[in-house]
Amino acid sequence: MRVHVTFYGGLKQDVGARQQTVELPGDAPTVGALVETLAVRYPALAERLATVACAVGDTLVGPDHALRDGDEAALLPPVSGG
Amino acid sequence: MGRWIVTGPLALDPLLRETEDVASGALVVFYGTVRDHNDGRPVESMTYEAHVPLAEKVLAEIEQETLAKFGARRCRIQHRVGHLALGEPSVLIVVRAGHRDAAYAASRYAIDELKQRAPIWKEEHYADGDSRYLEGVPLARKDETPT
Repeated sequence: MRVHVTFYGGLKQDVGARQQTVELPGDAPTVGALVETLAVRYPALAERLATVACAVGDTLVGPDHALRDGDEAALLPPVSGG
Repeated sequence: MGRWIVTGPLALDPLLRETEDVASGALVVFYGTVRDHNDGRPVESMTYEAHVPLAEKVLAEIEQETLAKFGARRCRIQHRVGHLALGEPSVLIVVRAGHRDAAYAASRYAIDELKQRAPIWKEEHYADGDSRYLEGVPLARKDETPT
């Protein structure tokens, strides 16, 4: 199944793109599995993962959240608004 | 333009009209504006980006919290995204309360919370052509208690 991932802030520089579509094996891969897949593919991203949060749609989710085909996920680095 | 995240110049008058309330005796307005230096480096401009759906949700929550926690009567928060020049406002917070104690406290709370919780990122552009995303505050992930 595939999910669409948007990389916010400086993460897009680690990945080389603002958005990626990611294929994940299994019926209900978790957000944790998505993040591990991305860390292997993008080592620069792996270094930052301790401070990166994840959202699906407009909701923050934890690593055990089950993804569905077509989900819009986002990786959110430390924030600096205001 | 969205209700909380906007792409054009921030406008005070519509928010003043929207929050009109004759039972409020105090009105506090906060603007954050683009500053010409940071960490000793001269800044030429800034770019802000947001995860818009989540940011709108977070700013709406913060507005409601100012009413509940401080007894403010009205609160509106707007943050601009895109490329901003020096001196331009990036964030605007309007608070009305019966009296000034609540209005000042609510306004301070709103900007402090926004800086910790809003999924918004600032990239600084320097005179030498370099650009950098600010270090930032890690978002508390779901199931974690924010410190």
